[in-house]
Amino acid sequence: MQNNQINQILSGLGLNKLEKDCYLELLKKKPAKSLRISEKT
Amino acid sequence: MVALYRLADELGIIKRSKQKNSFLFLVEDVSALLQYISRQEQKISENKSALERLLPQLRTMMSFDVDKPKIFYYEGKEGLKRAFETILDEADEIIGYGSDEDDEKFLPELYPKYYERRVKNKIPVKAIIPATPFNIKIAKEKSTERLRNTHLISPELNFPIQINIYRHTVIFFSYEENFALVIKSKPMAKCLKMIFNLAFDHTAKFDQNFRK
Repeated sequence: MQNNQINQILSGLGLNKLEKDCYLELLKKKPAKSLRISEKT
Repeated sequence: MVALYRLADELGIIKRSKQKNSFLFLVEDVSALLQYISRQEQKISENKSALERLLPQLRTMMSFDVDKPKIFYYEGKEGLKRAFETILDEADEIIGYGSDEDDEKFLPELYPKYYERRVKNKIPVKAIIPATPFNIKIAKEKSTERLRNTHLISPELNFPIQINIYRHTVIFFSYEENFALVIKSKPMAKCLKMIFNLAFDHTAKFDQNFRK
């Protein structure tokens, strides 16, 4: 699927640009490399 | 960070899990997007049903907001029907002018069933009606059933319109021109109500002649 198609779907779900970027970034990551954020942040 | 928490906790389209002192964010299953849409559909459907149930109350609240006058214009057959539906939701008692014959001629899909619905909503009517043969028959046979106090006037005063006055509202229906004009104004409704009441009282003597 084209990136812009995914983008359109996510926009339709009400995601803003930052949220879309986060989702797409996570989508392309392998589980082992999933985003890890310290609890304190 | 806020974006990730919203995607995980609010939208539920990514997964958040805790590992030691960190949070792990990942797209576990893309079908979570579909599940999110289904939840939204469910919410919209529930909101729609709740709003439909509340609509009469909301309309009533609008009719009591008399500080600001309001004018609504309805066009076409559907517009006329919508304006008539508003009356069923808002009116307590109506005074006005109209003709059963024209009601049924111009809006057969609404009349005569509409009279029953008005009676069900306990809305009585005081009406000045032109004495055509059809209207005389209805006035004689159906006035009680239709919760209506009718005064018949000369059939020459027959116009294809209907005027309804109730609470702080005046509605003009023009059947041939296919429009309805709703005016929500306390002084206008009060003044027209007074004039119609005077006319109603003074037409009692004519009414008796047409019923003979």
